[in-house]
Amino acid sequence: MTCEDFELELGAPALSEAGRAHLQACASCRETYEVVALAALPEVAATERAALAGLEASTLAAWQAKTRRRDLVARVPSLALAAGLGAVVATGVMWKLRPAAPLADAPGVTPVAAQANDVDPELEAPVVPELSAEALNLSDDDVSFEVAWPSATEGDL
Amino acid sequence: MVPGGAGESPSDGALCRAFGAGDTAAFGELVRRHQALLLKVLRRYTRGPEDTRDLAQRAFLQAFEAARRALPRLQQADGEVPFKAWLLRIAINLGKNHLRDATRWTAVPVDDARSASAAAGAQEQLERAEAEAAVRRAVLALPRRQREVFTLRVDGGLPFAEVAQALGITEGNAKTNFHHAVKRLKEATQR
Repeated sequence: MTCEDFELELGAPALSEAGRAHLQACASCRETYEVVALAALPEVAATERAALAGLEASTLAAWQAKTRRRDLVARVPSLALAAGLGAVVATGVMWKLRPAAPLADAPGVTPVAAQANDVDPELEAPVVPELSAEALNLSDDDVSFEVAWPSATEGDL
Repeated sequence: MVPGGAGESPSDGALCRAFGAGDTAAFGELVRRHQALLLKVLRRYTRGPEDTRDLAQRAFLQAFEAARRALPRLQQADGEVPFKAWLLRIAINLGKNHLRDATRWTAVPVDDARSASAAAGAQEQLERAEAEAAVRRAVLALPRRQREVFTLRVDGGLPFAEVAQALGITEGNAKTNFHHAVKRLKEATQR
C-alpha cells in the first residue's frame, strides 16, 4: 500500500488490514492519521441524538404549514380574478337597474334642451323692485343729524 | 404504499414519489433514513444540538421542496431522484451560512466544548483539546470545496463516490480535494 492509498482510507469507518500495517510502518502517514483524528469530531453524544427525537413529526408539521401557505398564495390570483369579475357583473347589473330617465319623444313631454332654447330673453330679465323713500317708509323724522360748529381749539396740536 | 420488494427497502426516489402522491409515511421514512447522517455533517457548523436540529429540519424542508419541483420532470425522463445528494448539498450550504452568521457576532471558534478527551493527565488533556480546536478551526478555514469534501468524508463517513455525487464533481476531483485538504491541515498543525 502506498501513502496515497492510505490517505484515501482516512475517513472511512475502519482501516483495512493493509492500511493498519502501513500505519505501523510509515511515520508520515501516522502524522497524517493523527491530524485527521484531531480534526474529526467526537462520537455523537446521546444528548445530540436525543435532540433529533421528534424531528420527523416537526418537519412534517412545518411542511404541511408551508404547503397551506403556498396553496393560499397560489389561490390569490384566482380570487382576485373572481373579485374583479364580480365587480364587473355588479356594475352591469346596477347600470341596468338605474332609475329610467324620461323619454324625449314621449307625447306631451318637451325635451329639456328644447325648452331652454325657446325661452324669451325678456322673460328672463330679473325683476328688480323699485326703491323709493316712500317705499322704504323713511321720513325726515327718522333722519336727524346733530350739526355743531367746531370748537376754537379743534385741530390744534 | 411505497413500492419495494420483500425485505428490500424502497429507494429514496420511490419514497419521494410516494410522498408526492400524498403518502406522509414516506416523508417520515426519508427523514428517519437520513437524519443521523445529517446530524454528523451539521454538527461541525453548529454550537449545540438545538442548532443542529433546526438546520436539519430546514435542510429536509428545502430538499423536499426541490424534490416536489423536480418530480414531474424526473418522472417524465424516468430519472432517479438524488435526494441524499440534494440533502447533503443543502445541509452544507446551510451549515456554512449558519457559521458565517454566528462568527459575525462572536469570534469564539465553533464548539470547542465538545472536544472531551480521554487523556489521562489534565495537562495532556488540555494540550490535546487545544490541538483539536486548532485543527478544527483550520478545517473551517479550508477553501470551500476542500472543506466540503473533507467534512463529508470525515464527518459523514461517505465513500468518495457519494461525496462526489453530493457535490456534483467527479470522484477523482473529490480525492484530489481531500488530499489537498489533509496537506493543508498538516501544514496548519506544524506552524
